[in-house]
Amino acid sequence: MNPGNIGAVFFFEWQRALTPARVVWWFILTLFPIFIITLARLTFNTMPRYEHRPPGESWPQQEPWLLFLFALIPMLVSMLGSLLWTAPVISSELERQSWTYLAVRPHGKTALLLGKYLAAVTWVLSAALLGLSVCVVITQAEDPWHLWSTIAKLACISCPAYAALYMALGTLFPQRAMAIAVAYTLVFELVVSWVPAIINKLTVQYRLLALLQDWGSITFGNEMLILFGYSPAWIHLSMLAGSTACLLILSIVMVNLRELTTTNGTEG
Amino acid sequence: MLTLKNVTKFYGTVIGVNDITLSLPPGAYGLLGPNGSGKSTLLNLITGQLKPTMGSLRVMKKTPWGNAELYRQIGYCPGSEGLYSTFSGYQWVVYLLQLHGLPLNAARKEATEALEVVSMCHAMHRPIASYSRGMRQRVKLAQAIAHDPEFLILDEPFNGLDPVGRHEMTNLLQDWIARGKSLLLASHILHEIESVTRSFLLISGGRLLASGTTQEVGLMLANIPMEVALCCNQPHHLANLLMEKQMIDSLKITDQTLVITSDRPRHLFSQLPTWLADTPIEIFEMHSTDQSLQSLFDTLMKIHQGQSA
Amino acid sequence: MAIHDLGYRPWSGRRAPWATRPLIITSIGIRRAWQSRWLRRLMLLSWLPAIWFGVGFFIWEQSVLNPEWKKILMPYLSEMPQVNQLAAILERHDNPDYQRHAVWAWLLQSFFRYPQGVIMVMSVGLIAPPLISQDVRSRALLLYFSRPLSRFEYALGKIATVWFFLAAIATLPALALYVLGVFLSPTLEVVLSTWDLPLRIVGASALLMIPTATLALCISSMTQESRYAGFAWFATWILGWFTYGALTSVEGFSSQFADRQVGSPITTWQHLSLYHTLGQVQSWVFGFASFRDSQTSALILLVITFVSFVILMRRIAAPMRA
Repeated sequence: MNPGNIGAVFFFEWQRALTPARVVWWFILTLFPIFIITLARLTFNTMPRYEHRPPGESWPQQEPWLLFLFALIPMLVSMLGSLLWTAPVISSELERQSWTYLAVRPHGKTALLLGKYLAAVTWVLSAALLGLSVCVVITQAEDPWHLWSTIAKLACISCPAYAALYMALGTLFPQRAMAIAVAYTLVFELVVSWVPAIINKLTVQYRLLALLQDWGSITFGNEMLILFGYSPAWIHLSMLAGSTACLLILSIVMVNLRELTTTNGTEG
Repeated sequence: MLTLKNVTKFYGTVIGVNDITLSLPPGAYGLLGPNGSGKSTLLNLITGQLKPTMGSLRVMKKTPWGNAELYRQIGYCPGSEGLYSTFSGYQWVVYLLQLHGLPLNAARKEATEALEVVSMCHAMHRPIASYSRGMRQRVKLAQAIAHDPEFLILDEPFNGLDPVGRHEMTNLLQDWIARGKSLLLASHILHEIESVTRSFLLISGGRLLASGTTQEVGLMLANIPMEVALCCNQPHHLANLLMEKQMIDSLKITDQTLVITSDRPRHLFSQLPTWLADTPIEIFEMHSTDQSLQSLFDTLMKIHQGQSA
Repeated sequence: MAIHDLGYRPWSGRRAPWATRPLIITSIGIRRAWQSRWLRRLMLLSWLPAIWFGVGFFIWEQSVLNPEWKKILMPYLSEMPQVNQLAAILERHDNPDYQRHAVWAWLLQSFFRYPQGVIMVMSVGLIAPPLISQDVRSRALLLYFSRPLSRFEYALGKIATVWFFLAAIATLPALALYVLGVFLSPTLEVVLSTWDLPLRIVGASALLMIPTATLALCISSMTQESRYAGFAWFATWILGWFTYGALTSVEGFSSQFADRQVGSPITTWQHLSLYHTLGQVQSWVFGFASFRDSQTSALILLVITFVSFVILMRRIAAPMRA
């Protein structure tokens, strides 16, 4: 397959990303963590202890900010942004009846998937990293570089992982992609990932939390250590990279095996 | 160009295409059938978007399902709209050409040429949202011909075109055929197909009712009851003569025209000159009242449905 | 009619009574939504929590008959964070009728707030997104308004579609729960002490239905693609909840370091979450919060409803302005 085809889809999708509706979503995703961190900072400001803090006393330690930013950026922004872009990867083209035009191009379906995937990852990542950068400035944390680099690394891992996951769901269930992706996220990524059993190791959230613990030097309690174990970071990274690749391959295989056609009014 | 062998397509328990066997050499063909007859399913099978449940098909000697090589040789204009309204027609055609593997500059050049062919140069940089239905139809055609395919497949290409647009589209397709390229044109409007080609496939209920030229199918129908109008100087005498020869099922005389229904039209046509040789009856004009494709189609449909024609 | 006299004129034929005109829109909406297998499953699921809460009614009524049950029950109640408010009421008041009213109201409020709240978000997320966006996309609005149908009737018809399903998942099970409570009671006289609860159920239902349906349809009218409407609907609840959760935990964390007690984090940040704002006003409807504590929440819901309705009306008029 010509890599230029993927590039064509990538650039075309980025042009689509600059339409007003998508720009609004991009701003919402970028501004939401900034809004929350600003409110959190204001809350700290109004706390009696901090109103009269001695000069040189730091704001709350690094750890709470790491946790907050983790919840906001690699978790919320990456999850929601990827869900918005990649879950309807097939259904959107079927719904707007543009699928046929793309499906009759040489390797068109594969190029469409991979081009959209790359566009989604870069779109979400740009919102995540910009939001993160502003948030780190607002936090006035002890070690802003450590804070930024830890969360940025996790965002760079979570965006491709979630995008591949939602894309696979979108190709497996093109009819109800969005609802199924929301249900999956609520059940597996937000609940099952906290179940101390083998099943939680299948979630992206588990790997990300384990990496946060490692890279962020978070001092979790014993319960958390039971949850995340003592696996080194490279294992989590390999698992995420492997699962991302597998999910992408699954999506490509599914989209090339399935008979997907648009219906239209002149169906004859 | 196109070979179908017992091709059947089921959607669950619903049958889309029913046991079609067909072999077509390169050329121009009309695919004619009412709404819901299976035209789009057949086109989806030919363009490799669907796999036959049973049977096999080959397009330009290749199996179409997901065949990248074949996609380089065919151009498809679907019946659905499916355009990106915020993009210009030019951007869209360039994008689809890039998906054919063309570098950006080449894609731009080819897109401009294709849009020129469909007379869309004046509006090609405007957003598709501002196009009329006819303009959208032309852009759809442009994307199908832009990569210069060998075989063009069009699903209802005349939809939404005004009379001028229809005329231009007809000319364009005639030029396409004149260049020696192949064409398959699906429509449920008969005269649209008649204006482009005389070869057609009749499809209904997922079954192929007939295929060939109008004459060939007419010949096939020659032995089924037919209504014939005979314009002559003595219609009453002619009616008597034909009744004596037991050629008439029913008749109607208006001025100098005798309209009869005969269940042996072929015999009638071959013997009529002999019968008239020794009579003063002069026939000025003779034609089947239902010689159009429409009547052909109606007759075949009735036969297919088990009614008498 | 003279050919030169053709043009727009008011409808002169017979029209259905005003009140029933939106019903045609509603009935079509209901039929279309009901075609979704997922929705049918969800509707079935929405009645299951009523069984669980029915057990709550049964345990309470049995504890009235057998006071030793109450002795076992009370320590557990006061230890549960979600229930301690109720436990405090029960400890303060000895009157059995008052206690019954409080327990029933608390069970009904919890029923509305927790299971039905989540089911409401899910079911509206399935029903509402395509309701108007598909009409905008297919330009059906022009067809609708070429009939003697006003924008208001159209909007009301669409909103009533969502109301219908919300009534089916919240009001009807809650009323059924109340009736079940009466049947599980020792005597029919309990109706005298709980007669206001059905009215409160209707009030809480209206509170649940009106702002949520208007907001959902406002979102639906703002896009041609139902998936964006669906995403925006879920994002509204998820982001609101997340904001509330994040900021209350910040406050909880900060208060560990504070020299003095700070205000309740629950009331400080609840207005950022639609779910918690709705819950606060529902608490007032069931008598667990004062109007003074709930007036800001009520005002927010009013503003959301009003603004959503104005946007909705403008959006459905947009094709006629073009």
